[in-house]
Formats: sequence, structure tokens, C-alpha cells
Amino acid sequence: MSRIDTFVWDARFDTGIPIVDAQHKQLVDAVNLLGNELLQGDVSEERLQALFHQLAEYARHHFSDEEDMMRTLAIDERHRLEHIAFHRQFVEQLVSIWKSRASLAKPAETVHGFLASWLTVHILGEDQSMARQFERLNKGEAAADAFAAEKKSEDMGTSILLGAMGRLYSLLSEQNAHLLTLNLGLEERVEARTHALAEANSRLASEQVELTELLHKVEDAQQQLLQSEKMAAIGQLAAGVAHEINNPVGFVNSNLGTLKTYAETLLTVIKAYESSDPAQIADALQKADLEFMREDLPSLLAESQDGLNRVTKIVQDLKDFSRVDQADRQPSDLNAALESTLNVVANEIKYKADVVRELGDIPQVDCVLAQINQVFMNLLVNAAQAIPERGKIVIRSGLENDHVWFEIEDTGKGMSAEIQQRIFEPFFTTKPVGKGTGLGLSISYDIIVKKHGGRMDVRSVIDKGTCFRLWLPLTAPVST
Amino acid sequence: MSRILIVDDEDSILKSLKRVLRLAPCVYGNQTFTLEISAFNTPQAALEAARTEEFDLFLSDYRMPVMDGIEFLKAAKEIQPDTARLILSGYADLNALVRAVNEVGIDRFIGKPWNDYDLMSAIGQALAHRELLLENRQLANLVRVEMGDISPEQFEAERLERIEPGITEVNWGPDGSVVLDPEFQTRE
Repeated sequence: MSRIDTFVWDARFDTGIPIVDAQHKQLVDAVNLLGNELLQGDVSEERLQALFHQLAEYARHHFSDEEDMMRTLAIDERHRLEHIAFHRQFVEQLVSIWKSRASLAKPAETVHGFLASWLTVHILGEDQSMARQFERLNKGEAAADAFAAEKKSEDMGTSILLGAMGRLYSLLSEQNAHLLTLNLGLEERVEARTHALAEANSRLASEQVELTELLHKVEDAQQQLLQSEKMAAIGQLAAGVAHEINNPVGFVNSNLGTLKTYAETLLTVIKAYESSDPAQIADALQKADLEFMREDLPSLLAESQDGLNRVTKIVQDLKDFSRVDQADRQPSDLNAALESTLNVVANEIKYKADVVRELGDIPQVDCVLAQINQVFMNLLVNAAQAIPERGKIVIRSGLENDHVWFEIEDTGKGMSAEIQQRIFEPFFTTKPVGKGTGLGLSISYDIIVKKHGGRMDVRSVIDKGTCFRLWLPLTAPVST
Repeated sequence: MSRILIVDDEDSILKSLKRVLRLAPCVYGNQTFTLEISAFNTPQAALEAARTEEFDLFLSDYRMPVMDGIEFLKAAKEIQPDTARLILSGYADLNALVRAVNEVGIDRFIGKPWNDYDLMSAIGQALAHRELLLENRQLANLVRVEMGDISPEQFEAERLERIEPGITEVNWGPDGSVVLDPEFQTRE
């Protein structure tokens, strides 16, 4: 840390005007105090500011005292104005150097050096000149004469030196002021840039929040679409499923009615036996046709049992199929799932095609069963609808390394290359209005490829048929 | 004795129907019909039977493989136009119903699951209606013969035609010969 050369009071500074000298000494002390404090480095900004203001205030106070004095004593106007200009310059200079001190290499030395030098020049120059003129005025000389005498008496060399110093300071002052404005402009620009950056940043942040929200909305909508496509498919299946249920319910119901008649007849026969009246017994037996009943009853019961089992099965399969309670991945037997879906859509298929099963031995697959069922249903219904009159649907499954595969092949109309290219597009359908949503295959693709990390492809020949093949990894990667 | 033909691709349905129709009396108004049932599980087999035997009533399922109930009844109507026609179906599709009424003129559409009593009375009503129609036509023809509107030959021809549709038509071959077996001749 460098030392400051203390600004020492010199006898030559004396003007002979007590109040002015006292104030000058005070200023010198204030300048030294500020310089030292600045040099300390660990002095708080508040204290520095306070000292500076004290100094500036005192300088102003001193200047106004001098200026008052000049006016009261009616010094020559030329000197007075010049003197005041010097004061102003000092104040401006002081303020600007103070403001820019942060950017100075050695703020303490510079500020202190400036103040000390300026005061030295000013006191030795203007103030001494002022004091001499006052003296002449006191002796009764006219102000103009005093001014002229002062000009004349001045040692040429000193006068030129002081004038040059004065100009130098004023130049420095201008330069400094210019630098300060530049500096301020720069700061303003930096601030504006920072502000703009901050704004852009916050805009980006809010945009990101918006995007995240939108993404959530899209995800929600997709989930809804998935569910509603399934509901639409179930709706389309409903009539078929109703048929599938109404048939067994129909004959079981009718059989129960028959059974009731049989039971009544048998009870009548038993009653006749209980009465032990041979005539009654003979009559009851003759009406009863026991022989027929004996033969028919077991088959009636067996058929009814079978019918109820069928209803139970289809209801269970429907439940498996539409399962919304199990949305999680779990190891699932997909051959069984395919069978159960086949049962749900049986009514769409059995009047159109014979189903040939070539199911391989496959391990359980980690998947969301309800979604895979939905894919199976879409493929099976499509296969049946592709068959114009009557045909064949072959379902196959198998294991290949760490993937299981399924094939659903029909002997239907087949598809042209153009249609094949578009089948996975949402809302693309070749079915008549009201028959298809155009979402089945796009959703199937989404389920197999995106949600389960599998693969799905198709081969098709016009008028020969279509075969969809899908692969599922045994352990699905974590879906997004 | 009224002869009834039943077609359904579901054997259990056929058996349950046979049980009901055997047991319950088929009554309409003061008429009681005893029924004789012929059951078939394919429309083709049923059509075969309709060509060789006379029936009073056809009761058909709607959804069946290869040929649906409406196609079957249409074909059966060509063979036996005066036979009553009923559909028993669990598939309540409006399109099917409209076609059944407009294309085949069915007497009744009965839904599955059916109520045995309703089924029996529907059959009884259809049989009674058919008998009434036939009797009316017979009487009207008698009146026409008496009034000289139609000749006894025409009357007899109509009777024969009713028994064996197409019997009074002569199928001419291109060389002027008469083709007796219509199977070998494309109609119209």
C-alpha cells in the first residue's frame, strides 16, 4: 500500500485575511483526512461518502464566503468572475473525480493528489491575488486600478505558470466530465443489456412453463383419445356381445321354464305314489312321459350349465378387456389374452371366418394388458371386416430372442401400397362412415411402439389378404 | 298337426325350443295347434328340407354363418310362399329388422332371450292367421267359380300351384322342347 504525501500547510499560503486562512487550513485538514481514509481500504462506503460531503460542503461554504467578500469589497468585476469560474470548475471536477473513483487505479492518491494540487494552485494564485487587491482597495485605490496594478506587479513567470495551470485544470476537468458521461452511458447500456437479458430469460422461463403445460394437455388428450377409441370399439362391439350373451341366456331361460314343468310333473307323480292309489299312479305316469324326461333332464341341465358358463366367460373376458383398474405393467400371459379378446369379438368373426390358432409357447410379457388387448381387438376386427364373404383368420405367436411376436393374418381384400403407407395415420380409414373411427391402427401403433417399445409391421397383397405382425420385448423399456 | 321348421346355428337353442314346443299347448283364440318340429342347425339343410316337405311355419335365427336368416326366409318363401315366417334373434339391429319386414314380410320378430309364453302365442297367432288367409282365399275362389269369374281349371291350377309352386308353369327349351326339371333351367 502506497503512502500519501500529506498535504502540508505552507507559510506562503497565508493571505493575511484571517477568515480565509482559517478556512484554507480547515480545507487542507479535510483533504488530508479524506485521503487517509480512502487509503485505509476497510473504511465503510457510508463514512467515505460522509467525509466527501463534508469536504464538498465546506468547500462550497468557503467559496461562498470568498465570493461574498469580493462582492462586498467591490473587487474588480473581471477578477471576481474569473475567481468564481475557478470555484465552479473545482466543484464540478471534484464531483466527477469522486464519482469515477471506482474506475481509478489508485483512487486515494488520485483524489487526494487532485485536491491538494488544486488547492495549492488556487491559494497561491487567485486567492493571493484577491488578498493583494483587497489590500489596495483598503488603501483607497479604485477597483480597476487595483486589478491593473495586480496584473502589472505579477511576476510574469509565475503569472504565466498559474494561467497555464488553470487552463490545464479546466482541460482536465472537461476531459474528466466527458469520460464520466461516457462511463455513465456505458453503465446505462450495460444495465439496459442486463435488463433485456433478464427479461428474455424470464420470458423463456414462462414460455417453458407454458410448453410444459401444453405438453401435459397433449398427454391428457392422448390418454383420453386412447380411452375413447376403446369405448367406441366396445360400443361397436356391444351389439355383437349382446348377441353372444342373449343366445345362451335365451336357451337357459327357456330350459328353466321347461324344468319347472318337469318338476311339477314329477311332483304330481310323487304325490300319486304317496296316495298309493293304483289308478292315480297309472294316470300320473301316463301323463308324465317319464321315459322322455329321464333322457332329456341330464342334457337339459348340462346345456343350461354350459350356457351359463358361456355368459360368465364372456362377461369375464369383457372385464379383462376393458380393464381400467389395472393400468400398470405386469407380467401377462398374452396367448390367454388373445384367446379372451377373440371371445369378446367372437360375434364379429364367427360369421365371417374360421379362426386357426397356431400359438407358440411364449413366456409372460411385461406389459399393460388392457392396452395389448385393445391392439388385438383392433387387428381381429379389422381382419374380419376385410373378409368380404367368408374366409380364414390365422393367429400365430412365438418367441424370438428377447421378443415375443404375434401375427394376425386374414384372407381378405388386402390393401394397395398407397393404403398400406397410410394405415397408421390417425383418422385414416377405408371403412364406410360410422364403421370405423380411423384411430384403431394409429392407437395400436402408439401402444406397441411408443408405450411398449415394440415393433409393428404389415404385409398385404390385394385380393389375397393382410398379415399384421407385432413384436413386444419381454421386459419393456421404461415408457415416457 | 302343424309342421314347424326351426333354424338356428346354436344346437342348444334348437333343443330348448324343441322342449318348449313339445310341452306347451299352442293356443290362439279357440284354436289349439299341435306342433311337429323339424330342427336344423344350418340354413342350407333347412332349405333342403323345405324343398321336399311342406311346412306351416318357418322360425329362423338371424345371424348365421354363410347365409343369414333373411336370406334363408327369402329362399324358403320362393319354395313355400304361404308358410308363416318368424325371426328369433338376439341381434337387435334396426337394419336387420327393416330388411326382415320389407324384403321377407315376416309375421313376427322375436328377441332373444325370449319368453316361452310369448313365443308360443306368437306361433299360435301366426298359424291361425295363415289358416284364416288360406281359408279366405279358398272361399273367395269358390265364390269366383260360382260367379264365373274364374274357371274350375284355373281354380284347380291355383290349388296345385299352392301345393307345388311352379308346377303349372311350362318351361320351354330353346328348341321347343318342354323342360320338366326346373333345376336345369335358369329362371327368368
